[in-house]
Amino acid sequence: MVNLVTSDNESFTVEKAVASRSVLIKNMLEDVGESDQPIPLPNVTASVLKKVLEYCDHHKNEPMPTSEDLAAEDTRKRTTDIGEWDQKFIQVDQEMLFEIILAANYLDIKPLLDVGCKTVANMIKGKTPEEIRKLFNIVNDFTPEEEAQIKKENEWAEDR
Amino acid sequence: MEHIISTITSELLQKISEQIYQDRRGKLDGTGPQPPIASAQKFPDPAYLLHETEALTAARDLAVTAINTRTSQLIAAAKIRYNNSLPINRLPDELLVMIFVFSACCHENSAYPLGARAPLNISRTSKSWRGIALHTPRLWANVDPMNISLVPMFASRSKNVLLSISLERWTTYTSRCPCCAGLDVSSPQQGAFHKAYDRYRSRFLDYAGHLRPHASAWKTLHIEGVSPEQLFQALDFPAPNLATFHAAWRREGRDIESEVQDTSSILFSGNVPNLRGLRLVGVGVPLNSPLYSGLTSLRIEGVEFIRSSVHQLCQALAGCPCLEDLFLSNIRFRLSIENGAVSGRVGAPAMSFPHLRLVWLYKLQQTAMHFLLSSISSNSSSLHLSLRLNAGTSLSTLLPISWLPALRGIPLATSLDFGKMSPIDLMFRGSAGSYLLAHDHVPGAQAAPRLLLSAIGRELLLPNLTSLTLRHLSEGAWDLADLIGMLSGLPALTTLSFGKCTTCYLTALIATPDSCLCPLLKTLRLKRSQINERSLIALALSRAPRGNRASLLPEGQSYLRRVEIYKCAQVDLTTVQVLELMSIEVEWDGRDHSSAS
Repeated sequence: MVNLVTSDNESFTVEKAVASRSVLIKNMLEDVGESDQPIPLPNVTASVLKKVLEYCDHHKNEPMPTSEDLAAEDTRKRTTDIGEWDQKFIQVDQEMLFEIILAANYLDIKPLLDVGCKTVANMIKGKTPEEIRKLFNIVNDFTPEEEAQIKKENEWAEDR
Repeated sequence: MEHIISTITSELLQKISEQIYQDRRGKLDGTGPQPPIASAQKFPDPAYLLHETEALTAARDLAVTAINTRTSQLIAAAKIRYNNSLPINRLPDELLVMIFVFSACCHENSAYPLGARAPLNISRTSKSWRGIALHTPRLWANVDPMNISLVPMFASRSKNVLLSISLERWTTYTSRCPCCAGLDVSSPQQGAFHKAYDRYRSRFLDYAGHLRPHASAWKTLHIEGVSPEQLFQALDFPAPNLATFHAAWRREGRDIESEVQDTSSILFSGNVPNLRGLRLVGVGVPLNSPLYSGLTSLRIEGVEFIRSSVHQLCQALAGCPCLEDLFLSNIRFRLSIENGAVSGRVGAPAMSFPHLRLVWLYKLQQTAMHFLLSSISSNSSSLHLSLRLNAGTSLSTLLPISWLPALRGIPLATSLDFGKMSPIDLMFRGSAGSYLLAHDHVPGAQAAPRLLLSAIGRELLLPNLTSLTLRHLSEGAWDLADLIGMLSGLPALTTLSFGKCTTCYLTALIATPDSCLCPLLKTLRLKRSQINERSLIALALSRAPRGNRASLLPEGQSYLRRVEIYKCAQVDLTTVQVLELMSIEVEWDGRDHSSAS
């Protein structure tokens, strides 16, 4: 078992197979060897780690992505398909979604990072800039000059 | 608040106007009127008052402009700060890039109107997103019928990333994208795509003109629906970085097109030094074209070569020593082998491709197929050879296989799987590679299995074959005598599988004092077949371990150790128990007998 301590000082004891879905933790465990020492995760809060561990537990028996899988990035990026379980898992509010993405990036869990990023990509897909702004509460911060430049581009794009 | 603003504004205006007045007075060489502002004169000169009014007006305009500019700056900065504080923008740029790439690269993205498709929508959302989008060249590297009019913009933003251009119909385009599989083909977005596709086809020469200045940046070019003549006319310039070129031309009711005979234009003027993947469907590029050089993948479908010969095809292949995939389907040569000889050489040249892993030869003239199979050889240990023979062609026409270097691994096969599906196929597997011989399915052609199977174990000896699977066979297509003939030539079989086969085949395996087919048989698999229980039990008894009084196995032969039964309605628990009494392991519907019972 592995003991993980979050930024808000909460402790999680999990199977090694679950924790090792994170390449960061896996490498730490390999470096430290057999030890009861807790592993501090200063960039992850308890609520986020709980979600991340739920993902890791579900996928613990799957083969880890190989370097060849990661090298086939072009193919990977050609699809925004997400598995059924992963889709349900990632149905969280935006704040939590982005926190999961950040945690997956920090903990180096490539498949979870992909699920998070694909989810956001799917939210953006097919939306106009105005709809995207509304979705993420973004304000239009372009200067009039930039707006004019964009409008010029739009002249090409409109009605095509 | 208003009072404070009023005081500040009047003081500001007073200062600015004084400054303006002095500036103007200086320009009048000191001869102008005295400053009226704050003067003690009782009756000021009207000229002074006019000057004062002008100065104040100018001061107001300047102040308003300055306030507007500064306010805009402050508001813009506040908006940027606000945007940066949003949860999504807490993601570092590299993660936003990842998200943007996912949203831009899925083929579904291409169906959206330009204003709602990535990366254009992303680059118009906010200042920071625009910055990221414009600094991510790969977002701008995909061109399709919907955005082809924006090629100059995309090409300049893709910088040193080469362009992937796919000018294909929606179904072809999305067939390469798993997440587009479930898309509704009649949605308005796809309607727009179809419209764009039709527009590009009708104005192909114009669009080719848009693309031409960026030809050195092309990496892949997929073109569908443009006639070969137009292609040759429009694409007559070099594409030095082009790595993949697909061109498909299908006309209603035609499955084969003639070779292009007008040789006044040469596709890409023959200058595609990096071309590795070439797929031509209904586009008959003459086989002496420089395009067929240095390829790793070559697919030609639906072409009748008029002038080019199979010899020239071999010559072209010889120019591709690193060839990995070869797919030739529905190809015809008008010139006979004799008439098409190059430099008077009629015989098949020997060509070895060390990296060859996939060869598909479908619907070729028998002579052409023979010629190619006599020429091609591979040292690759994982060659997948798939031959689709024309209807009515017997396997015997390929024999003796030892003459054909491409097929020389077949006699070493350890497993053979026969499926009478569409097409009917024979899959040989072994350490020397896997070989799929497919046969065009002709509905109602009873002789088809016989054409493929009759040579096995007779003319085609398979001394190492230990596993045989027969599926979808009925007595009408392949009778008991045929099966006995085949099995008697396969003495090394240890595993025999029947799937959806006729019940009579089991009787062939019952050992008798006079005959024992497959003397090494250890495992029998029966799937979804009509089983005659009596035949099964008789078979098991005859092959049960020695010591069983009914066993008829000759001395030194293997006995039946395992029977697997799956979805065979006639088999019941009693049959299973009887088999088990003979010390035979039984797996029944995926479970061993103990758990099943």
